[in-house]
Amino acid sequence: MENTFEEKLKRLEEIVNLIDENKLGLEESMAIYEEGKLLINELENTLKVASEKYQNILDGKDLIEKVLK
Amino acid sequence: MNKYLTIKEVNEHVQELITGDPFLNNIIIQAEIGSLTDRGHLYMTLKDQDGTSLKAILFNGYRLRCSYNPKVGDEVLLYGSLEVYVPSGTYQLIVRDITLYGEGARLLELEKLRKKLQSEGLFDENHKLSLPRFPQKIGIITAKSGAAIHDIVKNIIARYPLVELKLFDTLVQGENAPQEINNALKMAQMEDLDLIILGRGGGDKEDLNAFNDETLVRTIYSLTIPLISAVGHESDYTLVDYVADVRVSTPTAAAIKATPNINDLYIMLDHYKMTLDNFLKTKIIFYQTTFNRYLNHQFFRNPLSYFEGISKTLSLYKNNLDQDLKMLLTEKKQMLRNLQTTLNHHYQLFVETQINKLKTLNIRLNSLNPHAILQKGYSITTLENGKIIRSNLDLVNGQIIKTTTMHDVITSKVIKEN
Repeated sequence: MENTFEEKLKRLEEIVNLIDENKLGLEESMAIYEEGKLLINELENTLKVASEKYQNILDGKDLIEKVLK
Repeated sequence: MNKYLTIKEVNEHVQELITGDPFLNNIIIQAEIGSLTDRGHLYMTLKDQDGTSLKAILFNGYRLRCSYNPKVGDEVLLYGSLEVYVPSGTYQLIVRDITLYGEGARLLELEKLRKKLQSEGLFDENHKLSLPRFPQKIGIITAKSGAAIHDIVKNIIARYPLVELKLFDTLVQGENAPQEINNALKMAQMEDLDLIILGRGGGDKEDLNAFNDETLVRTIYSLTIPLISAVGHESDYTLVDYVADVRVSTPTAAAIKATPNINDLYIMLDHYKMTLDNFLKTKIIFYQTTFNRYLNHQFFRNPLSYFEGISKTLSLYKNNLDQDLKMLLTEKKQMLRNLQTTLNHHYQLFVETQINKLKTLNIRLNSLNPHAILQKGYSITTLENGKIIRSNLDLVNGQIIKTTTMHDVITSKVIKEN
């Protein structure tokens, strides 16, 4: 199952912590860089898609009906 | 000096007496409003049922803070202090708060209930749940037709469009509201929600009664999902506000408390992006610098001179080692010699001492030897078993005895004379 936004963000924060510790070798650094970049892209994309989904209806009168389940 | 008092002096003395009396500074009076004049400040005449009356003033500043608007004929509770108006020698009640008599009683009941629930620990800070950082599903309990729902939904979606919202439509005022909200809470508890917002739009004080319901407060206390209460006004706290995990005064504030802001998240992701890029750049520069340092090392630039250097160092070490070893050997040899000399000396001393001891012992031994007296011409006579004869009584007739001299042994037979 696809990880949630929060899980991905948590992993990204772990990666940033690892970077701050500055104990990684070159290969690990490159791997973690790739993973971090991928996570950032995915997270930004998730936010963008979700924003766009509601962009047009945010000021509409039928917002409640469209949003609520 | 005039021996008589002025009216002013009398009035001022009475004023001092009254304002100095702590009882009269904080009194609650129950009375009916007999008359009133509104000049911004409200001038009232209060009366008891028997017609006894008292003047009262509600200054505009206090009036603005009261939710009740006084009317002639209302039975009211007034809170304030007595003050004397010196120019006319009259006293009056300076009102700091005024409520309808029934309302006052209701507020007292409510305060009693609040204290009871508080003493049971229902409002304890350490029982409160913390809100999730990134809620996935939020339940909203409010009236679908009310003003609150729109503010909540719009603000949440604008802030954090990833979240899923579920509405539990209930009454928020009136007699049936507590029961409906209670049921909605129980239904919400069974859903996989991360957070519940209990909301309500505007309304007057009376309308908040539903949120002071004891059963409702107890249900909220038992929830395992965090709850934000957005039912009151800035100044009006309901019991639901006290028991809620977080209390805010407007539906918009609830949305802000409930969700992260998407713009902050974009900024955070940008920051992480920069951190990652800088990290990799720094890492690569570090390895390049290290690599260059190795390349510039003497070993790689001129391997032969590098080995010559090592060879010189090694022979220096060897020489030093040889010298150290020699010195050590000489030292140890000298030490052995010294030990040998000491040992010899001690041995000789010991042997001489022992010889002297032996000589002394020999002399003493010779002086004690019984055979020494034989050399002087004495003899020793014994029985056959070797026992020395010391008296005639030791002998019987015909017994064989032996006499030892210096040179031989003479055997004799005893002839006893009677």
